[in-house]
Amino acid sequence: MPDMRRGRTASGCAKGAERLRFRDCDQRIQVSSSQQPGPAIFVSDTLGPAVRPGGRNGQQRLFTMLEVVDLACRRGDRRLFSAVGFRLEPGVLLHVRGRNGTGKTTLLRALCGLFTPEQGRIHWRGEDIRELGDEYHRELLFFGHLNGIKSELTGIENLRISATLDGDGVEDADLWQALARMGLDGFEDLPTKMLSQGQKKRVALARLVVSGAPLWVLDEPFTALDVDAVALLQVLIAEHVERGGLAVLTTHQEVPLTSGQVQRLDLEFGY
Amino acid sequence: MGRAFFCLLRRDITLAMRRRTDVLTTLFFFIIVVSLFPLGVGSEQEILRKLGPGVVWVAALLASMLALERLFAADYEDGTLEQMLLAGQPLSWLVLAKVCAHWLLTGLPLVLIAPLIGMQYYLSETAILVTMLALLVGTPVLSLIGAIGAALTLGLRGGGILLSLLILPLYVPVLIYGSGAVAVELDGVQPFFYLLGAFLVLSLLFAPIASAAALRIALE
Repeated sequence: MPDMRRGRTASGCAKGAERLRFRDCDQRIQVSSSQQPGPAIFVSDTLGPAVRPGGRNGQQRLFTMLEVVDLACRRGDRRLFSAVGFRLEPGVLLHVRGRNGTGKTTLLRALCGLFTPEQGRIHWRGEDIRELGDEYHRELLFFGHLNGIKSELTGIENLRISATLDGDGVEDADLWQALARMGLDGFEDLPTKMLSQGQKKRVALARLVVSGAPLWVLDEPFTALDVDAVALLQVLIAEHVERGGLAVLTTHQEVPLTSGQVQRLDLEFGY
Repeated sequence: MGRAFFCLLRRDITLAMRRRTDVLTTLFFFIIVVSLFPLGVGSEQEILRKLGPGVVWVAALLASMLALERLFAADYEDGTLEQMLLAGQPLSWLVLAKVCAHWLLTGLPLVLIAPLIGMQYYLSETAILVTMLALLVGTPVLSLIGAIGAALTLGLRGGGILLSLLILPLYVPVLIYGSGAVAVELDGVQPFFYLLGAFLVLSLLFAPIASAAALRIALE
């Protein structure tokens, strides 16, 4: 393990983050002349070795998967945030923080292409997500405030449908296994309306287990989950990041990663 | 793409089978509305025979409106619609799957029940056959056009009334040619079917695209 840690320190991720911080400083100078923090503060730290496919190759690490440039969003008359920008490389977790109403959900929905930002660009693998359209959506897994499961259908039916719609050719056995991993052994065949809030959420989160999408966008995934489920979800996210996946999430809880890099984005009230 | 289409189609039909009230409400609404007219107008054979085609079509329009409101609303509320948008499949294709399911559940039963209705109105055998065929071609158009309205009014308060105001005028051509087909003699029926068929092709092409665009706006 220690030698891997050494490998990480020399990686390009830190460089990318520095560049970013620099850019944000620029923004802050433009926007506010005083000591007040700008609309978005970018902090980055690393929590362990970054293990990812192609990690031995220094070039690969610099490759930006998701890039957000000068994003501003507005809800009605209220500007939520402006001048938000970041770049994410494989194996990075972006933790979006901020008080209620600062636009965390809106930012995440904009990242998914569900919300049209007032200005700014979002690039996936160097191309605008508006132009990529369905191609981008195939590589994206979004988990929002709504579970996205049908209460009349059973857990296994729900999971099978979402896997088919996502285009993941998943075997039935894997789906059962995924539900078992989510701690739903014996509940697979019950209509989800018979399940508790937390169990419904577990059914919905089973998609994470079977999904092959490189980008996870998770909006408050920890709410309504018990201690075990929170730990399990943390493991799932850590595994995803370890495989070289990207995750963007909002939560009021810390996510300890076993590997990879955590970046933090603080949203503050707009003006 | 085909797999996603049939998966969604099957899902909607399974859901309807587990929540049968929605389907049965539409069907019984249709039967009751159609049966009220003979009670109100009287049982004179001539009047009823003239009235029959129009009443059947007006009732079909209203019955298809009834279930439309729920077409996307249920998926919108539980978040599955959001997931459909992000599924990486063409949204218009998924919308078409949902409309197909809607027609199978609300349009097709009307076609099948038509002979029973025809007997109430003293329609001849050929007239009943023409009614069934016209409904078979016309009701999918109602579902398709209705989907646009349902998508446009999604998430609005009091969307149901707005939906009727928006969609019923668009149903008028189907009503005219659908009931017209039954009223004319069998020889003259062809042009009516050509026109109904044209409406069907046109709405098959454009309605899913328009509904998909409206859904994207509704989910912002």
